[in-house]
Amino acid sequence: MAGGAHPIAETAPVGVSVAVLQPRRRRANQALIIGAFIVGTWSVVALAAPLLAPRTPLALDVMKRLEPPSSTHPMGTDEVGRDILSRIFHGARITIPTAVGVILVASVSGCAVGAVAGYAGGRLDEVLMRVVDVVLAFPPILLAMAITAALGPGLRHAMLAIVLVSWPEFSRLMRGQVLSVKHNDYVIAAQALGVPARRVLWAHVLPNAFPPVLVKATLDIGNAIILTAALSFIGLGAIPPEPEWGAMIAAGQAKFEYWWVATFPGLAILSVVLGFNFLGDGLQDLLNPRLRRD
Amino acid sequence: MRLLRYLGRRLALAVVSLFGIVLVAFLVAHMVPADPLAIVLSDQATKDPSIRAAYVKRWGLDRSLPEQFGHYLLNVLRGDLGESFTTRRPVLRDLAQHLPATIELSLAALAFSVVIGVPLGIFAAVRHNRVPDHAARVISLVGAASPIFWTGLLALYLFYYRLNWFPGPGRLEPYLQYPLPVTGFILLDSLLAGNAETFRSGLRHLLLPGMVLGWFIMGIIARTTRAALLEILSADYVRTARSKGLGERTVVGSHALRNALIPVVTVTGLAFASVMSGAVLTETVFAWPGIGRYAVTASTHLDYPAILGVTILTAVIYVIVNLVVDTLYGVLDPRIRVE
Repeated sequence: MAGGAHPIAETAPVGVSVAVLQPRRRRANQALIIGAFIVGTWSVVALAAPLLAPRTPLALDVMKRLEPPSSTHPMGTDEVGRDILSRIFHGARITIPTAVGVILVASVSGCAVGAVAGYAGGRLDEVLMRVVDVVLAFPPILLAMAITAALGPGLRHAMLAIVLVSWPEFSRLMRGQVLSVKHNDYVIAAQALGVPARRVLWAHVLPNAFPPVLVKATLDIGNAIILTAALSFIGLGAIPPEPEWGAMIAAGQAKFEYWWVATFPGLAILSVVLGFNFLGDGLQDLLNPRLRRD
Repeated sequence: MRLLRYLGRRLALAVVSLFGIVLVAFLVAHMVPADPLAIVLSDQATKDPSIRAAYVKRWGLDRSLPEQFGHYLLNVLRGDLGESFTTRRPVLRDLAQHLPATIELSLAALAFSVVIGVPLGIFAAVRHNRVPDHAARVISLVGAASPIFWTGLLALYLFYYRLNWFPGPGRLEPYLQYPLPVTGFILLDSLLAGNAETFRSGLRHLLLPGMVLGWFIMGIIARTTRAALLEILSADYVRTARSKGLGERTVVGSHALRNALIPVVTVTGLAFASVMSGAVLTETVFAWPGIGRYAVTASTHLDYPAILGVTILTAVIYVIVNLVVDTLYGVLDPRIRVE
């Protein structure tokens, strides 16, 4: 009886898991590979922009204003005859480091708040989470607009504004992670041994909480890129003639006959954000063992 | 009884949030490095000593910072958000005038995103891991990755400039007069006035921006529907329904969908912040005279009372919408009340 049941019990789950696992795994890898490829390509473009760009991003050529895409200007020229392709390449040097830096600061500070709130609990937790709720009640673009307007327009202030609207979700995420790990035996054991709170957090709680934070940070880089572009589009972010993609789209507004002016910078934003979103999705499937088993 | 306690707690949290919202606005206002009066007064007015004195008194600017906040809070509670520099009118009156256009646009967008997003999510869940599922995934990924101001420009270029399927920016044809503002909603006001031409024009102008804004939230709604339905399709009672021999259509349609729609209701409420964020930029591109475009104009003119007014208003609406959603949720799903 037992001998007969054993092979079935052993083979059945294996057979099922292979069938269920593979499509999901492959898709996760695909998303990760596509995302890494897009983000990698854009990073190379950003690093090597001065070498890759056919012209400098600020070179005016008034005789060649608003020229449609051609072999000399693959993406056309803008209203003062600047080469749009070169501006897009150089724009990557603004967009990517800006968004990565903003999310780095927002995630570290947000996580710190969340970790403290979750670990300390009680009244401090209650107060910090109400602060998080309040910031999340504002539509991000509006609060960022208000802050940038108050500080004065410019890319630096726009970045600060995006940090100020982006941290709370990290706090919420981190707090949840800490709460779910806090009551594990090994954490209680460490506490019982008299390990100070900071060490417990650092050595036992944070490593477990890291994967979801990494996923969210990757996805949020995409959001930060869109938000920066939106602030520049409105006129609060990057100041012309900087080749920032959002500002370039604004320059193509209400110029329907010159469609290339707004279209290509938009495609640049779309592709780089898609890249980070794929990367985040792929990382999520890779790092979350629970999802992987589903 | 438990429901009442649940609602009581939600209401208390909402009041705390409202207090916090005003505090955040106050702090942002104090980030302005210039003269604090510049937050409520225009350039010329700050130079007149008598106006200055009156405003210092009204906003309590000669007091300590906490007292100033008390003043600010009282003024906001009374509906006094200061005067806009650009329109020279009380901000509250400006907001009341611009809000209906935004609500009209947001409702159109929500309707579009639910009508397309929910079936898309159902289709993706039922055909899990097959072509429709992947297609839905790509659609929502692209939707989430496109900057809405760019999508809006592209839509205008294609469907208005090139194909002329839809009218251009604005709420009405330029030669048509706005109907008498009873509700502020063009569709309602034109019906009340019995003016079919204005109604048709208003509707035609609403479609394109509504779809652009709707496309932006559709991905969120499709993904939530898909995830919720997938989870429920593997629930025991669905297996029971299937093993009873019920058709797939009945199982999905009347057993699974009903429960899957509860999270969709919540997400639709939560999507409100996204709708407002999207509306700000959609309105800018489509010259739509709502609070979003009002806020953009205000922020580029450094019109602080106006932009803070919009910021406070949208946050307050967000809190109220979520209070309503939480209440609905508590009524719909008794498990939530236990906390």
